[in-house]
Amino acid sequence: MPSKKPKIQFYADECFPVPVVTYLKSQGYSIIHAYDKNHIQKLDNFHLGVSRKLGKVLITLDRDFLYYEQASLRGFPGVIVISAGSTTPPHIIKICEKALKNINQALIKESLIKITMDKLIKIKEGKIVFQKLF
Amino acid sequence: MKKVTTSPKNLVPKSRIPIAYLLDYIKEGLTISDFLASYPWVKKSDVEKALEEIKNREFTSRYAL
Repeated sequence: MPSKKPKIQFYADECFPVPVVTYLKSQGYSIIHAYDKNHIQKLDNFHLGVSRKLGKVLITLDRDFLYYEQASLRGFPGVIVISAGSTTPPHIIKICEKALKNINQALIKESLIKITMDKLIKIKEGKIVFQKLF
Repeated sequence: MKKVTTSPKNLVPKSRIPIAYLLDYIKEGLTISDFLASYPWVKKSDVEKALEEIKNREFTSRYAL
């Protein structure tokens, strides 16, 4: 029976490798890259604004977004920061395969999720509110 | 929302891609072509400039960030 859960839609910023987006699309994820929209050489705030406007969860490798763990993301679909060692596509694909299946819309909404090598950490307004090993 | 400020970092010229990312590709035996496939708007000549930068400095991954 098909799942009735709403599917998360992702917006990958320019730091996110294009081949990982291609791979995730092939696996059925709904994801667009900043490059598809010609959003290149833009500031972090710009990408955050686009994700809000499009109603898509921002996914990035850019650790600068971890600064947003202290900020309120009220009204934002959410931010996922992959901070798990290497930034190469084979490594990021492995991490995505393990981590993304643990994330649903309710979990990510208005929150920042940091993904490390072996766990995801949900941070809301500066506080860790959920952790899961995967 | 509070304004968030971030620390400056070393970027591949004419891009917002950290040089540290390029180092990851080199460390794992990937090529400049692999890097360019990940960031197709970045020019090969700018990646080469970044590699020169790496060679010319005492470069630690912390510095690269």
